[in-house]
Amino acid sequence: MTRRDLLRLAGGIALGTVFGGCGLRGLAKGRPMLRVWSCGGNYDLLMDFHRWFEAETGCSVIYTSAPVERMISIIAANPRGVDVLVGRSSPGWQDLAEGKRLASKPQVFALDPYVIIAPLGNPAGINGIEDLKRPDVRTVYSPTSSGPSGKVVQYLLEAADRVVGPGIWNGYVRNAIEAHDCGWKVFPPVIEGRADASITRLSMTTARETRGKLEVIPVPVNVMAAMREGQGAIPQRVAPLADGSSPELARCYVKALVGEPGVQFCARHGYIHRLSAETDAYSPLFQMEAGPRRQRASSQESGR
Amino acid sequence: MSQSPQRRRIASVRQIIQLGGLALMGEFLFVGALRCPYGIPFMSCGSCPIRVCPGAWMQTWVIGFLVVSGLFVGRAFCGWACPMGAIQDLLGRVPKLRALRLSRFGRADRWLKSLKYVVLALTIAGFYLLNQRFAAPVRGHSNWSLDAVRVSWLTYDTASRVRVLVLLAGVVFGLLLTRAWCRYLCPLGALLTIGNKLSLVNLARDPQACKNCGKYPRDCRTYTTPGTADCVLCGDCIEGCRSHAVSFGPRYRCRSEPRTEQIL
Repeated sequence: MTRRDLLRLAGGIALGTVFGGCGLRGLAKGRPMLRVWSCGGNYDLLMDFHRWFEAETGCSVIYTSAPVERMISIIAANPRGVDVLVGRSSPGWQDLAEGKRLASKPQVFALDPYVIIAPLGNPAGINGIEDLKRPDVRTVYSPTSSGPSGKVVQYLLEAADRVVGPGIWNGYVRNAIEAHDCGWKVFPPVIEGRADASITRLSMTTARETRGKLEVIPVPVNVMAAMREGQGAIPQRVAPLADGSSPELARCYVKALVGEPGVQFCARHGYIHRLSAETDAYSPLFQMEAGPRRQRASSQESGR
Repeated sequence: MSQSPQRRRIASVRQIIQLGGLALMGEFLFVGALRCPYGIPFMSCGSCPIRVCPGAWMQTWVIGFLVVSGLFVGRAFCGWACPMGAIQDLLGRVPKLRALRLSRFGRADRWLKSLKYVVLALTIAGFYLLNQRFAAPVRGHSNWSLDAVRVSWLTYDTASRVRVLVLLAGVVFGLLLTRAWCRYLCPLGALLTIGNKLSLVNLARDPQACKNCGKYPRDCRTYTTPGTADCVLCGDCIEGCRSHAVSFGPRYRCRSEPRTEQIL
């Protein structure tokens, strides 16, 4: 192989990967492009949804996910090019609306409720959130994940202290055999039976690594509705952005995600879609707002 | 310089393996270098929430391969399989820049080569002292997504940006000085120099055939002689030696075998 052959081959590989993977792939195929940014928690759902959306519309979705507050701060500073924003209901959405960065009002398309997870067979006999304070229940939790700033589970269990009975949050922490810096790390101890219970988001229990390997016990809706802070983590919003390059396609995307096509994808990935059969049971959560604006400073740290 | 069939064979096989390494590990390098949210990339894949990163499954294999290859063939990974090494070699082959290219960085070369050990020490210290996420975990529709790189950059703190800039500067510098990154900055290369001292297979010189012509390090891609720790065992010197005095061989031989001086 001569030097020229080698350079040609390497150049070909480089161009192929760049055109194949980066934002030019739609351009290379002459297809319209839609740039979607979302909260990291929505990644599995939206990757699945995008495959369907691309097949239906013939467009290419250029998708990026990161903590939604980071996305919002980037969009606020440099709004051009992003067509749709999807994510949990953080206070930054209000800033975008006030700054006229949104083409229309954000819509709550689904809920991602918190649930209790237990090993298969539920050996500790966890029947409800009050069992987490039992001294024989080994828990595992992740104090620095699940933004804002890892506090959502704390806010949830503090709400349980008020609604169900006192001592649940303290008992949950006291019973913890492990504390992790990543929400995904609470799963292995529970799946392997080293821990008896943990609290996580329902969508995380439907991932490839966790599906069918856990018992999922619902957290009462009135407990989630009683959260004083952090409630924005549950309702998932979507909105087209005002400075996007494909406004028609963005409106079509939002309509599909909020409407009937979004139901099956949300069901598959553990979300309660607004048009699903369970909506009535969860109706108070659809009214939840992002919570106090003072969350913002702490939630910006949640990506670290 | 005319090439012997043996040299051409070694060079061709090496280039094919390098392209294979680039295809297999290039994605890992791209994501790790430009988007890894940890202070020291490539090292905390098991803790990272980005489950679609190739590091999530590749890290164990790459580290295992490095340990085994380091014990058997020293820094041969750098010369034969490292995707960054392949990029550095390709940059060193851009013909238009040949006139500008340096063979070494003047008299500072020797000292600059020690810089990679400083980078290694900082890397080890950073890993044990600061093994945490410094930036937001960013995912894209593809691991090659430039949008994800852009968002990562915008969410990076200053230290993470400096890390990316140093890496990119090392790559670009490779246009002017072949394998600049490998020579001066690569912490992995610094670590693998230990393997060069212990490996079972290395480059050996036949002292009876050697005429001490001093041709190397002038023609070496890392400006080193086959007898130093910086040798990446690329095998160029096997052909470059007109006396055919250099060859790959086992470091440890039985006493009854003909003596070949171990030069690594």
